[in-house]
Amino acid sequence: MAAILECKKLKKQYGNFTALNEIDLTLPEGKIVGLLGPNGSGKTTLIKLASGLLLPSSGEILIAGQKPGIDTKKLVAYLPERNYLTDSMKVSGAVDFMADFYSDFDKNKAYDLLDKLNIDPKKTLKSLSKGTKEKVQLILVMSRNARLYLLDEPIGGVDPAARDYILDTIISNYCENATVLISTHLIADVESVLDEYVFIQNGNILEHGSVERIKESGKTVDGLFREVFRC
Amino acid sequence: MLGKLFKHEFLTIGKFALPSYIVVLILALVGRFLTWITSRQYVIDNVPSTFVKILSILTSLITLLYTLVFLGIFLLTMAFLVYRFYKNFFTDEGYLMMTLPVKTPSLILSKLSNAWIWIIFSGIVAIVSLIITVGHFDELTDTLNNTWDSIKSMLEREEDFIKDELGVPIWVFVIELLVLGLAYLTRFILSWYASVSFGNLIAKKHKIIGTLFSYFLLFIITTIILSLYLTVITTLIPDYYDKLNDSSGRALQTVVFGSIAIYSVFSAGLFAFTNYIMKHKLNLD
Repeated sequence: MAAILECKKLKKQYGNFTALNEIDLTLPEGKIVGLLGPNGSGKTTLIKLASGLLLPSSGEILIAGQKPGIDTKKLVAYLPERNYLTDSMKVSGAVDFMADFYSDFDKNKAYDLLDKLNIDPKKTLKSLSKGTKEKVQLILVMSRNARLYLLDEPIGGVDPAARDYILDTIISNYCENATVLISTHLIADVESVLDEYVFIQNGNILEHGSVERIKESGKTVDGLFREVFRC
Repeated sequence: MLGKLFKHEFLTIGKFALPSYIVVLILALVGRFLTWITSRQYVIDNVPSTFVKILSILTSLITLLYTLVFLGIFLLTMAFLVYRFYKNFFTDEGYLMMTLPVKTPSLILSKLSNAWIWIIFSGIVAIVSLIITVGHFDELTDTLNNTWDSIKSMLEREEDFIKDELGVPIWVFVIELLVLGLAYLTRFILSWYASVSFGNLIAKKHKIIGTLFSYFLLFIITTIILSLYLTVITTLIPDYYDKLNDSSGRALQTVVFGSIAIYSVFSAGLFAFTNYIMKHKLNLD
């Protein structure tokens, strides 16, 4: 299976602090992958490198065989854990914005999802609650037909009741051959949708494997995580 | 993609700028109307004097407010444009803008071209509001026509003399001055963009202080480069100042083109510097 994301001896340093320590990682197409680790383990740094917001200190990161740049940005749908939309913008304005810049953006899907989540497209973003803004951003990202979705803590800010709905939105709105990388520390919540897991700590990949295999051995990803990261 | 970036930026700035411009024009109109009404003989004769006094005070207040807004409009527009650059690229909004499939120079150009347009537009609004405030329209039109006629006849009469003084026909000189103005404006805007970028790079928390410090630093560097340039020029051409002081058109043209060239070189340097930081050193927290 072709690799959508490939890290070769990828290293990122901020001054003396090593955020990623020469990691090797290959993610295939068509999988939902959990990037799991405690706070400060390097999850966000890896996602920022893949989205082209940061440059590696050494080693390389490839998206569909290419270094991050304009061509890879067309393939990647990135959901940061930040509120990145201008507050004075209307929800419909944000939809138009995405449709203008991404040829794979599906406006109908966006309006359909907004409708399902009872979000009024005519409202300005500043009039929405923090959780609703996060939902809008997730809808904008999932309305693209991207090849790689990078979701940084997509369920961190919403209430547990909405989490299931959001995860459901994620798994029912991506193409079969696309890969979704979900970074989170809420493992129990995402476990049911994952195909693969990557455990990351202090900038090192500790484990990368198939969720099915864990289940076959009678364990859960959450249980394994607690075992590996025991304080 | 530059066109799309320009469009979205234009609409966002418009949401802020147009209402402020409308306020300026309304203030000018209200002030003009109040001045007009309180100076009518009929009003003075028939309306109780206390009321006229209140109206006069109101007129003074409106005029004061208008003057403040008038003076602030250029400054406000400029500050807003720099703030937009910072907010859009170096805060959380950068997570969206810097992951768009567009080249970094296009991002900077979309901001720069909007800055040109909105600064020029703010100038036009200022002039129009001034005409509303001070002008008797009929008189103003007459004055403008008369001034234009006298300028025209003077130009025709003194064509050779002007050409000799300026080194080029007057219309070419006007174009040169416009280009010079644009070059100056571009350097001014880009020096702020470079300061925001560098300020963001050096300051972990206090980005605004970082930006102001960078602008100050840039000012010093610019001054040093300019004095070095003058030193080199005067060494290479010992009678440089004598040549400048002679009143021939050639000297004036040298100054104009020299300034355009210097501003362009500075602008290109600032653009490249800003582009480098945004592309390679973007440090979004």
